[in-house]
Amino acid sequence: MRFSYLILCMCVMLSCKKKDTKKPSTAPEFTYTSLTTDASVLKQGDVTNIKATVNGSVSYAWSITAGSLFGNGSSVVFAAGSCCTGNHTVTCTVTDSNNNSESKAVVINVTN
Amino acid sequence: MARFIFIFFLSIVPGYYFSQCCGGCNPIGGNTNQGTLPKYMLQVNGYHRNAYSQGYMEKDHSSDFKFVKNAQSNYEGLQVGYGLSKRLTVDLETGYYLNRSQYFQIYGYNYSLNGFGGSSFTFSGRYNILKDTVRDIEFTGGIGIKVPWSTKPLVTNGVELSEDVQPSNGAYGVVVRTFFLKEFDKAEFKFFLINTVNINSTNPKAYKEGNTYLSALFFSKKVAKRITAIFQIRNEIREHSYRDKLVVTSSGGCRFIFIPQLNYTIKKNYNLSLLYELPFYQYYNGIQLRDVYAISINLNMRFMLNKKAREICEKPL
Repeated sequence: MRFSYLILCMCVMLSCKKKDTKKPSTAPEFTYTSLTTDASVLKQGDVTNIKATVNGSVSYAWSITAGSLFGNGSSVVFAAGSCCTGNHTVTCTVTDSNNNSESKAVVINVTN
Repeated sequence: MARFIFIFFLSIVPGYYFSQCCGGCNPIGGNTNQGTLPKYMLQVNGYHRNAYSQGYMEKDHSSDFKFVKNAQSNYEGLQVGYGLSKRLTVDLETGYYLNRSQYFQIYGYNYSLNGFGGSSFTFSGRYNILKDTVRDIEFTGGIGIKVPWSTKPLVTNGVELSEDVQPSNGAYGVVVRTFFLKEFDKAEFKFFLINTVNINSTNPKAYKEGNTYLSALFFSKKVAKRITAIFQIRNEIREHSYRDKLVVTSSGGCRFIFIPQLNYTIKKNYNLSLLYELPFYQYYNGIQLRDVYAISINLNMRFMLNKKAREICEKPL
C-alpha cells in the first residue's frame, strides 16, 4: 500500500510541469515594422522573397503551414511544390535578448 | 532448422513506403517480422536504407514539372522482437534519418533542404493464429501503435523545414499486419504473403498523411550452402493526404515494386542481406516526385535467452 502511494506521488510529481515564469523584464529593444512578400499569389514551382523589416538586434524564427523555406535571418525564399496548392501562412517571430517577441504573418496563395 | 530459416526470412526485409512523398514517411513498421518468434527468443534486426528520387510523374507518365531536382535519404532502422510465448511475440521498432534531403534548382538558383532525426517508435504484438505442420501452412496476425519521436517539426537555423524532409510526420498511428506462409520443404522453396495497413492520425499542424495498404508476395530459394535468393513483388497503395481537412490533390497513389534480395548466413543466428527496390509501375495522384530506387543492407541476429531452450535449439538435427 505504502509502495503504491509512493509510486502515485512520483507520477504526480513527474507530471507537474514547471510553469515558464520567465517574463520580459524590459521593454522591447526592437521595432518590428513589417513582413512583406514580393508576391502573394504563386504558381506551383515558383518562388517569392519574404522580408522581415526590424530595427534592433533580434533573432528570427520562421514557420510555414506548407511549402519550403530557404535561407535564414531577416529574409527567406518561399517555394511551393506540387503538394501545396491553396493558402499558406508564413510566420516570422522575432525575439530580442530580453525574451521580448513579436510575430507577423503573410498569406501566400499557391495555384496550379 | 526449418523454423530458423522461416524466422530469418521474416526478418530480413525492411518496410517500404513512398519514400519522398509529401509528409514525413516512416520506412519501418511496415512488414518485418510478421511471423512469431519461438518462446524466449530475442531478435535484433538493424538495417541501413538509402533511397533516391528524381523527376516528376503525373498519374502513370513522366511530367515536365520542375521543382525538386532530386532527393535522397539515409535511414538507420532497428527492430527488436521477443517471443513471449509459443504463439505471441512483442516488438519494438524505431529508426533515425541520418539525412533526408531535397535538392532544388529554381530559375537557375540551387537550394537544398536537409532534415535529420528520429522517425517514430512502433510497439506491436503478433499472434500465431494457425500453424498446420502437415500442410506447412502458417498464419499470423499483428497490431501495433506508432508513436512519433516528436510532434514538433524540425527547425534548423531558425527556419522550419518542409514536410518532405521532416524525419517524422509528427502523428500517432496504428499498424495492422497479417502474414501467410506456405513451405515446400522438398524443393526448398517458400511462398509468403504479407499484408500491412498503416492508419495515420492528424498531426498538430492539421496534416494527415494518407493511410497505406501494402501487400508483398515473396518467393525464396536456397541457391548455395549459405546463400538464399528472394524475389519480392510489392504493391503499395496510399490514400490522399489531408491538410486542414482539405484533400491534398498531389498525394497518394499506387505502385508496384520488384525487390530482388540476396541473403548470406554469416554463422548460425547471424544473417546479412542486401536488397534492391526497383519500382516497375507507379501511379501518382496529381504530380509527385518519382521514386527511382532504394538499397538496403540488413543484419539480423537471434539469441535464445533461456538456457534450456537454447540447448534444444542448438542440438544437431
